[in-house]
Amino acid sequence: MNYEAIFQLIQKGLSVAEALVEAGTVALPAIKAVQNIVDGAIQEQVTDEQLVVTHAQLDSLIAEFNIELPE
Amino acid sequence: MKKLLLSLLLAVTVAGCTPAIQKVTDGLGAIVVGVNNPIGNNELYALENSMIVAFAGLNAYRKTCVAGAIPASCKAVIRRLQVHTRKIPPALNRLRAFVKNNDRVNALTAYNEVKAMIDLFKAEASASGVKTQ
Repeated sequence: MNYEAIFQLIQKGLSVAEALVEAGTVALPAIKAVQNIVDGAIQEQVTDEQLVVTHAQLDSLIAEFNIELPE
Repeated sequence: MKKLLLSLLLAVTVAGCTPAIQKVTDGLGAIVVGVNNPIGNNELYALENSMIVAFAGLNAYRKTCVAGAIPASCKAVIRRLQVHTRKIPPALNRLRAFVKNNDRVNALTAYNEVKAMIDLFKAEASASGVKTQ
């Protein structure tokens, strides 16, 4: 695991969360994702259950962004 | 809504993009896995969580765009980004399957494929006037 990269991502993730809060939108997914990265780095092995939850959350966010824009 | 508009107006940089989207595109490149580092659950978990951060930001940008709170050019930016983001789900599913089956060689190939898509996406964001640090 590249710890330097993880710390950079935490910093950037928190910046994203801050911008989301400022914009009045829900920042919880971003904050939770940063927390997951830290937990994953500390853990010896991420469990299948943790991965399933992450898969579902990411799939939902990607699907939301990919919806056709209204004219 | 007024508060949202104010924060977005303060945040607007180039082509109507918020700092969130800039930070998002930066954050996507933060996790680097070398060739000698096999792709397992931990690497997949880190990659997917970094993408969650990114897409949370992108969806906030999309919502403010749809609400008309930022210049209408944001729709063209989103449509260009969607060309790349729509290719991510099938590649991600392949990567997940390889990791699950402990197929490390193909997992690395699939991981690099997803990373390449993210790089394309970052290049498109940059070409759309989104600064990356």
